[in-house]
Amino acid sequence: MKKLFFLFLPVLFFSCEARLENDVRALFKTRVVDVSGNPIANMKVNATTFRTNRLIIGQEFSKFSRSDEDFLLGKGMTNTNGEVEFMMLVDGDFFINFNSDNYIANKISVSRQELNNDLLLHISETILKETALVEIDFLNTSGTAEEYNVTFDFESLDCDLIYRNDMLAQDEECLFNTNLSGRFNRTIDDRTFALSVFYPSVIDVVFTNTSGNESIRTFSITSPLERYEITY
Amino acid sequence: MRLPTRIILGILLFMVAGISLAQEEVSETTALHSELPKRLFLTDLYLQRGIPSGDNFAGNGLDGGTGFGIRMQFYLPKNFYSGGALSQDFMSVKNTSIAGEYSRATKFNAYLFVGYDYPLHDDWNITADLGYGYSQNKNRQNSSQGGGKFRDTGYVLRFTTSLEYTFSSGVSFYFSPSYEVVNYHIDTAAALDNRFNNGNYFNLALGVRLSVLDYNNVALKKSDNQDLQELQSRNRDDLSIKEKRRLYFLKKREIRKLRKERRRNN
Repeated sequence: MKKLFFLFLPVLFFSCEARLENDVRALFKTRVVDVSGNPIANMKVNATTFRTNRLIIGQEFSKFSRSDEDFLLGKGMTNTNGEVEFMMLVDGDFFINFNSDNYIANKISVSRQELNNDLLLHISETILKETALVEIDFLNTSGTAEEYNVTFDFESLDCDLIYRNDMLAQDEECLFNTNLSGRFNRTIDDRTFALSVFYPSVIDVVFTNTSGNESIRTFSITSPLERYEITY
Repeated sequence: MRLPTRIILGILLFMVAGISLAQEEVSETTALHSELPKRLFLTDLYLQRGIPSGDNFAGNGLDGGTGFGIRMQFYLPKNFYSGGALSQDFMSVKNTSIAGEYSRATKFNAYLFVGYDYPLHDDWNITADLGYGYSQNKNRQNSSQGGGKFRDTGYVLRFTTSLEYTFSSGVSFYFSPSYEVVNYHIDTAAALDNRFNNGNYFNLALGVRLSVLDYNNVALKKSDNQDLQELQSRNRDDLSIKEKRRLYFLKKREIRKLRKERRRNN
């Protein structure tokens, strides 16, 4: 009986349930501005261990992580000066998400090491870009029957900002920025591609026919809805 | 002066007044006390209401709840006692921006204590003790926060008082206000430091106290029970186990009878 008691005694003190970091609270603060440097007020900002994936503009849908590892770590709202500060729990790498009607899909990916020992994540200024829907039409005016390959180089909503070594930067290695490629004119017809991008930004369209002739077009995106036509 | 400080001072004042008033009564009832058996060991079982207080994450971020606990103590000479206790309190988070993004906190305490038990009157006791030990808040997020779990740990310093009314020789009920300060070991950003250093809790408990009394060392000179007198007059070492047992129960019955008579006379 005594042995049994000592066997169960540790159960009172230890458990394998805890999944977030014990005995720790971190502080996050930043000032959120738009591309012209104006503060963005009343914007919901939160810290999570998961990131959501955009399905269609305006909706955040599936997640990139297992649901039992999805934790909300902290949340806050920007004041009229665009400043936000909140205390957060800690569980490894995390994302800072920014959400309002005009701004979706803006995320900062932060690794646990950036909290260092001072447990403070202070990003002096976060510049957020709005999202635009860009349609690019390929119009067959020459009547050619050749098939084309096309790739788009753009700022995808699926790519995060990265905070590393006290610097906020675009994720240069993000696959989604150049991932979208396609074919058109398989049968003689027109084709439209729709891209969701951050703006202001630049889209490079590279299309190549079967004989290897390469054409490049570059578009500057400056408004939420844009449409371009490329004739070939 | 803040509320918890006022409460503590109130309790202390009450205790000091109780002790000084009790001094006179004791002299009148000394004769009776000599017949009362001393306490050897006791167990407390209680329910309590915990109220987080103070200007810190517990006071501003947590909401009090009910809890329960068990205390066991053995008696040292001169009514001093020492023991250990376990308790569990169920609290909720009222402000996530202050405490953190979670919804429930369960406080677990395990501590040792020493204190003093003062018999105010035949049926009334007051006790006061100081304890020190381990404290842990088991925190849980609700499902919309992700259902995560984590812990905040620290050391607890607890001051416990109780006012006790004895119903029968081994069973009493008590009311116990207590105050505890937990020093948490929570790593935080420098700007948050003071908020997570301490948590203060004021508790009000109601419980039942079960005592084991020392009947062997009570001398019952006035008893008219012949058996008891005869057994008591013999050398204790000469008694067989059966006789010792019989003496114990005779004494217990006699003391119970005396207590009843005394109550009737009062």
